[in-house]
Amino acid sequence: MGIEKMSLISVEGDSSRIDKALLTCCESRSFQMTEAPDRNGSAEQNPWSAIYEKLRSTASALGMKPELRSCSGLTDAPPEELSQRVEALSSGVRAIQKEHEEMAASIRELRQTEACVQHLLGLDVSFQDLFSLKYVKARVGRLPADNLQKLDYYADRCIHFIQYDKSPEWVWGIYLTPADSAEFADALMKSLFFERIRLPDYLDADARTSDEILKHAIDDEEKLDEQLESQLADYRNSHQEEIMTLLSALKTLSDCFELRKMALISGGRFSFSGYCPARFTKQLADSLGSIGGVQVVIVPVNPKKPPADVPVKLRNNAVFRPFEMFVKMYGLPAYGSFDPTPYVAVTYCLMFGIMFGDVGQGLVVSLLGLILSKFTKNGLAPIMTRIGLFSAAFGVLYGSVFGIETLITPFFHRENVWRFLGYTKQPENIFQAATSLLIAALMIGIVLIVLSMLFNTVLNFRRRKFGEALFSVNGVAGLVFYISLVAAAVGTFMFGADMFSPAYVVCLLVVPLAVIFFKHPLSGLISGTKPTEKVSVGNFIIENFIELFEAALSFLSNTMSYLRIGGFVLSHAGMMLVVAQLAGTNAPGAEITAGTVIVYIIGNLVVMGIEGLLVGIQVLRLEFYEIFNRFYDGSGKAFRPVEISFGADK
Amino acid sequence: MSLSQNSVIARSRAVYGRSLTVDDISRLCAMTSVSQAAAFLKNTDRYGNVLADIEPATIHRGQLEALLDKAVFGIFDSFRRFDLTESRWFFRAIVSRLEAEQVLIAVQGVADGSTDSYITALPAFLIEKSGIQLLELGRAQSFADIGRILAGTRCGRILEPLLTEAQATGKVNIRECERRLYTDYYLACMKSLEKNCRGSAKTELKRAFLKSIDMKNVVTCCRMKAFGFTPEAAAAQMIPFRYRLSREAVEDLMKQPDTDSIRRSLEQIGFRTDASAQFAAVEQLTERISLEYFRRTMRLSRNSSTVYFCLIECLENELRNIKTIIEGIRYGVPAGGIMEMLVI
Repeated sequence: MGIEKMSLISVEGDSSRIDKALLTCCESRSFQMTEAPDRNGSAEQNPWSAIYEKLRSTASALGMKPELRSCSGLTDAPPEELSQRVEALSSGVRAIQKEHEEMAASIRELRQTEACVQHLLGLDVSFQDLFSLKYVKARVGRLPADNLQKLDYYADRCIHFIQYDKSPEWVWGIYLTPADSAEFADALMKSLFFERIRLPDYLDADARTSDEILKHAIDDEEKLDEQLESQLADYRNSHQEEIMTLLSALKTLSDCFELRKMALISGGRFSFSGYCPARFTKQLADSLGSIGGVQVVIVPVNPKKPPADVPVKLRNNAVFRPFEMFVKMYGLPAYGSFDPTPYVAVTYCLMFGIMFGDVGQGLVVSLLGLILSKFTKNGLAPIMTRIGLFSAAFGVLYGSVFGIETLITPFFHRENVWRFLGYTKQPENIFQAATSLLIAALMIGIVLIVLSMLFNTVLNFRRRKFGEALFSVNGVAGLVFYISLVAAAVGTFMFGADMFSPAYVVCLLVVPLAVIFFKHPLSGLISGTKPTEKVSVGNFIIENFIELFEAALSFLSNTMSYLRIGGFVLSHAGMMLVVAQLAGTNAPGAEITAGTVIVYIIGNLVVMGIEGLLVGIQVLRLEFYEIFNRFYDGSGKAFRPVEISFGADK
Repeated sequence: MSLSQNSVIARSRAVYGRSLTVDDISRLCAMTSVSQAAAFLKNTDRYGNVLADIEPATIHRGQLEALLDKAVFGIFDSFRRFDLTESRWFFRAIVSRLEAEQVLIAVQGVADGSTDSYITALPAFLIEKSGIQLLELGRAQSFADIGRILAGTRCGRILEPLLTEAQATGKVNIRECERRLYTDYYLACMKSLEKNCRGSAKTELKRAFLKSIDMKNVVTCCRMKAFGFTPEAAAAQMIPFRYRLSREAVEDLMKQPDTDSIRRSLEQIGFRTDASAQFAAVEQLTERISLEYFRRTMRLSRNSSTVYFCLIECLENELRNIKTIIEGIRYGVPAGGIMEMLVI
């Protein structure tokens, strides 16, 4: 578990073998290529991209989504042969496709004409009569509604506009003008943005009849179009496999050629390098070695002094793996450092379980996660499965099943537990124990903060950053200060023991703070390095005082932030109380009716939807801000193996 | 700060947030026909509604521009309905500026004998908002007709002596008409500002307003210089409000031979802009200075009147840019050439 160990693989060989070598790397799906410093493999133009694009557009015209198929035999074929096959496949489609596009354009035009004619249904004169007038010219079209009022201005200019229909933006109609004024009228109406509609000659009847004619014409053309579509479908069914295989081969060849850009090709030799998870290196080296004329050199990456560009791949067991998503969201760990995924998985599940404890709702969330994992690739689904189980487990502890607290007896319903917590008798509901609950939440927070600081200290010792490990806010000094402060506060306020004695305060609180204050000079003293820039005493005091103040404040705010764990337990109980009240089941002896069940179902769904989401977000916030901030910096680069994928082309 | 003020600020910033990005503008510049530009604008948040019904393939450039004007005017109108206090007097100011523009076109039309062009160019959305009978102005065949139609209006009172003189001589001093109308417009704006704003809000808005006037005066001053006017004569043509543009500054500006030296002069009186930017004309320089100030003020100000005023200026700048692009596309100017003419 943790971060996958990487090896640097250098591949060299005869330049005629480069495509084969790159293809082997792609097929392994475990090789991330690095750019060669003097790479020059991009000089040539990719001979495959044009053929690939041609076939892809053919596939797209046939409505096919590219899928990768096995194409090992085809990748060795010469370009001419592949080009001929693509041309043969494309030409078969092109003719039908062209006819289909023309038909679609014709239907679109007819529809537009029909839409225009429909605006003129009030016109009971035939278009032929109208347009064949000798002394009067008629123009059909639409005018921006705003400009209609401007027409009054031209009332004396021999333009008569008849309105047949209108929308907020347009007015449809006909304008009539004497034949000898037509040129002037057309120019004038154009200046008012009149859009003339030119009706086809065959529309010689009145508007209503013309509308019927157009409808029939559209129906006829649609039938023809359907026939063309079925021809395309037949072609697709009979050639699908061939097209997909050929497309996969061309994609493979084209992508491999593109990868040449990252290689060095010189004097008939090629060379490229990249990273591969150590456990796959032998397999990859064997595959590359089997090509012939290709040499492979494997150098394991030293985790203590890794190169800057070494990628990171997390490797966790099936239980923790879904939580890698959260770690990636924040940023991957640097190579050679520590993978916090198991820690995130455990703390996330625990906190979610505590805040959203309910047997019924937990199991529903878990089941939903399971179903979603089966049918989708949503990364949250497997997380839901796990956190739902924790929610159910804490539900057993709280005795809550879909918000009903009388179905099972809670585990903590023991008199001695409550007596230990200072209660004379067992509280009737969770709200009576709110203070203890919030204190418990703070305790969880304190434990998690201390754990995070311990992680930071250990990690810095491992990285040999002794100054950070010993003197930083999240190192030994901060740890001593925080634990001492918490111990003194608990002792004084909960158990009545006055622990804030002068010796205690000076040794365990003031001294650690002073150490944090002088962190930089002390670190320099240990490492034997001198500060790179000179800082005046005044600046030093101001800067470090502000940092110290911020650190002290962050201890307080981070600890208080965990109060939300208790807060959400109360909020969950409160929301379910509201559901019970709406269902009318909180009174003793209340009857269970169909309405009660419906209210409970809807109430539970709402609570699961709203509160489940809120709790999920709040826990993530705690992980990122209160836990990760103390020990983790996500500076790693993700491992992205080269592979052939249609990805963006789909 | 009142709830209304907060909401005007939030709404102004939300409207500004829907502005075209530099990327959008570059894509628009790269288009090769007005139809493509219309189709692109039809898919934007700002102009999509008003262009929803158009057919990009057949739309006329003039109609497209008229619709874009309508879209921006619609935003101002929506603010008037949204906020019953500040936005109203701003809206009145916008309407009176547009009225002044239309009156000037009508006067010019009578002078040139081209009254039809007034009607076709008249923004229809203004007709019902205006206190002037704008359609009637289109029927005016003489300066006396214009005087009669404008009688009783603010524009009428201002132009009366000039129109009477024009009727008698047959010639109209259009530049003087323009100066008087715009001077009156700015005077009215200042009066409204004094009446409607208080305290720091008034100071801040006044500063923004005066800075924008300064920039307009810089342009006037440079144009006057090109026509050989003296600094005194140029000052007489300027809007009679100043922020930093003192008499000495005007004299200094009029000595400058080119845009770069004008830019340096302006820097000396505190009007700065991005040092790396190049400007083809003084108008571009002043608009850029103003735009940078308005953008900055809009982000930082907590005063709703100032934020709204800056929004108005930014929207009008965007509109000018789009019209420049459309014109550039129409005349086949390459994308790079259009970009150089824009104020972004």
